[in-house]
Amino acid sequence: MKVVANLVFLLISIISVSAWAVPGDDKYNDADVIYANFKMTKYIAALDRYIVSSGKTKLSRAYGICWKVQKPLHKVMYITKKGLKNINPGVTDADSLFFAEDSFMSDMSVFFLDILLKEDRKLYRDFVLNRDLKHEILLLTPRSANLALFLKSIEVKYKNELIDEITFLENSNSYTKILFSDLVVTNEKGLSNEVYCHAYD
Amino acid sequence: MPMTKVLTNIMLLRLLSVLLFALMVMIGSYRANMSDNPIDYSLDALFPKYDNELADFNYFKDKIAKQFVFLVISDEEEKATNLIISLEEMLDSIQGIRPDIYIDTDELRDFYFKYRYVFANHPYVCDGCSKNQKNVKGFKDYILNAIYSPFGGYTSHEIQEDPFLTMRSIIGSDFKRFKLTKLGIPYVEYENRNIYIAYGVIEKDLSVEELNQLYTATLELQQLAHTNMMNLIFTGEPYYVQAVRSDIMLDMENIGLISVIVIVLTMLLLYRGLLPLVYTTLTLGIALISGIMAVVALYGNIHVLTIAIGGCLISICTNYCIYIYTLVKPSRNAKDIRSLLVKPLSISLIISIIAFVILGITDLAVLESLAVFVSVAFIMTYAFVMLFLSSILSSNVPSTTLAKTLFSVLMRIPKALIYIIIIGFVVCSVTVIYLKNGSSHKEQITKAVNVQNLNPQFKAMTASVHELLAGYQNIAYYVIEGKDLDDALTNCYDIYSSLTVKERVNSFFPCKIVPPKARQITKIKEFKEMYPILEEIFAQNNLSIAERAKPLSVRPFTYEEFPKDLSLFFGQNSVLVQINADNGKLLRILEESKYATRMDYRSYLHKVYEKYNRIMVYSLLITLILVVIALIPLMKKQVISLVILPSLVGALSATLGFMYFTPIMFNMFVTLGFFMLFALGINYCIFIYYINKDNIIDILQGTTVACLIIISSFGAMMLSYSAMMLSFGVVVFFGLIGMLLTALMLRVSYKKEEFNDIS
Repeated sequence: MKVVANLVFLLISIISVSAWAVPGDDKYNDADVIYANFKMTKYIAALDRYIVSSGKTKLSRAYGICWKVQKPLHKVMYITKKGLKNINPGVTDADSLFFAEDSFMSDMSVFFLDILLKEDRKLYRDFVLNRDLKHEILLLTPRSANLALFLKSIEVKYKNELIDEITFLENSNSYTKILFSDLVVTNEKGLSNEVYCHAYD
Repeated sequence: MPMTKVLTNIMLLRLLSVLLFALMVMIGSYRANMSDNPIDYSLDALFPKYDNELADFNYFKDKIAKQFVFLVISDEEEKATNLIISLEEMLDSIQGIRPDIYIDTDELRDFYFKYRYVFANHPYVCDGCSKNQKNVKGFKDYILNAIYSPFGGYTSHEIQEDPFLTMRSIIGSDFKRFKLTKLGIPYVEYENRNIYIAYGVIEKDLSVEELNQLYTATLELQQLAHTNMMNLIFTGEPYYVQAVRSDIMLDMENIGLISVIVIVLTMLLLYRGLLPLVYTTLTLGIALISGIMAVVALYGNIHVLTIAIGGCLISICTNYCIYIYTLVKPSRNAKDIRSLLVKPLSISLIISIIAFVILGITDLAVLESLAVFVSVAFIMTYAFVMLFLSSILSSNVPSTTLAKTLFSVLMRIPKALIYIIIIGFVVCSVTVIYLKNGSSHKEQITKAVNVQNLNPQFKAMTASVHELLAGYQNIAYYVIEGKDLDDALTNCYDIYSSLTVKERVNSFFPCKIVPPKARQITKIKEFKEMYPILEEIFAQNNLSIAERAKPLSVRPFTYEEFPKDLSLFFGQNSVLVQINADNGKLLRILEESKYATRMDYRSYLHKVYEKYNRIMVYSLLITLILVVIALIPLMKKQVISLVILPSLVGALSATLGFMYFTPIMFNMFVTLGFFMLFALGINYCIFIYYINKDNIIDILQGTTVACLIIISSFGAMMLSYSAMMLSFGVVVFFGLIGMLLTALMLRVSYKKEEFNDIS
């Protein structure tokens, strides 16, 4: 399988990283927080192995995604527009690991955030978007060849306009499927980055 | 043997001169036929030959000059792809140019994958990292994240082939910046538009036709892009060369046209006949052919600028004709005319040749050949005028209205006014020059190298290309040396590893792509050290690692093994580094490194030009002193009033003219302009010295008409796009007017009693 993105940029790697942020739409208010449970199944085709994990998550436009794995191990991951970091008990935010070195994981985290927030305008830059309104399905196909090496497509299923299922499909028929359940939208004011994911039980 | 007696052997001399001319034409034609490019348009010829202390200086300079870049700015990939395909076809159609557009992702990917443990920067992999408990914990978290993260965790391939996730770190943040179309065309996003990138490489010197084809076809594609709501920008030395060539051609057309109009009008109005015009054209033709053929015979080719400047300078040859036309009278035969002219014309010829031969010391190919061109053209003109023209000219009686009007004006100038005019002018000029020079001295020095105005459109496009590709407009190159290439890479890497992220973003270090051998070995060793821990985490999660994924049998590589041509950055024992020239800290770091030397061609040229300029200023002074000394026995006290004073006024006029009528500042070619000014001006002074009451109208007629033609030619040079030609033009134009008027006032107005009885 072709995993490694094209490396032309290394030939011309004299480049500054351009600003990524684009003003979003207003489907969700900054204070809206979506709570959900998840079950993730990662299928590795070459090994014919399934890696299953489950837990709960919360999502907001202002603070990002807090991803709490409860099985088979305990792990809290926090995704912002800057990328992903681990939240460990007793560890301050400053000491948490940012996956700045792993740009793919960071980018994918941001895509994930944009998908959950329905930030179509941002996604459009990197994906061809096909929306099946009748069945509430959104199919995203990577525009650039180097992203396509990593990812064949992303299929997002909604139920009553809320996220229900996401499948990341690789070229080798390996995939990662996430099922959401028990979604609740709340309006919480006065949150901060510090407490949003650190204090999530 | 006296000159007059030599000329009596007129037939022999005629034969010799014809043979010499024929020989030059034959050799010149032969060498032109043998040459691929008999007319040279290169920019190199405008610069001094240099022997840089950097062994790889010329190598890198040549490599940089042979690269060019195209950027297509478009919203639509399909349209951009079609344009790039047209661009590729255009480049392919020119022999000697290789388009370098598509990225072979498979080849590049395989290479990086093969050497992934050399390239990867893993946050938890380092020398001794396996013994640091905190680091080991971080490493485990990292691997578990990759297994359990819903987004961007291990892909199937990574889990089998790249468990350290090395390729992601190799891709790094550039993943966001550079992308590829389905066809493999790289592009970047900028302000919501895509910018598609294509390169071209010159693999052999382009002929004039090929250069022209490239230039024209690129402009057509640019127009096509514009029509299709896209933008095509490009940069590369071939375009500058072509722009300079076009400017020179335009200059030649303008200057030629003005000179021809002035010569035709002069001949028809003042010499009242077509014959003088025909003879003058013939003389100019002989001068031009002689000059070109002599240069081609000697050097194998001729630079277009030599033809352009030489073409202007040989208008001096019309002076020789004018003296003949002026002296032709029914009462004079050819021998009389030769006798009257042989002394002033010979002195004039010798002074001109001395002045122009000194151009040869500059070591500039263009000026060296110009010295040959002009010297040969003058000698052949002298021979033609003295040996042929003086005999075959019919007795046209020229109009003397101009001379008589001038004489009348000169006779009306009071002696006291001459003092006031000359002293007043000298004092005012010196004051103005002193004040202005004091305020802008620094700028003048820094722009001493300004020899050719680069086309502003191309300059703007180059800045845009740099900005869009590199993120900065001004690029500075440094060469980092070592005992051998690997040592140079080590020195390069030492500097690179000391840089902050921001500084790295503002630079390109080739040792990032090809690290030194020792660094490669160390990196592989670090991954080997962490491998057992990785294996343990995998085992705990019931995952196994394929044998081929283990960092056990990797070896270092050299730049030749890299799948893309990196020779631009790698010399024999040095590497080329590119940085943002506006980043002061980066500049300081490299300036302070004992291994790094700035490859600043302009700065280097500036030094060379300064050196040559000093030599030329001294040469100019020495030549002037020698000429004055040589003229003292001939002109005695009048050498002060008819040579030194007019030269001073001429120099001041030229300097003032240059200061107020040119946008450019002092450069080496101003000094060369002074050479020409004095060479021409002193010639006129010598003729003016020979004025007496019998010949005053003839000499006034000859000198003023000759000077008028020269002034118009050099005046036309002031329209030039080239700083070099502009400098020549302004200095000679203003200087010559100052010199001629001063010499005439001092010879005629100041001694008007000698001419009182002339009606």
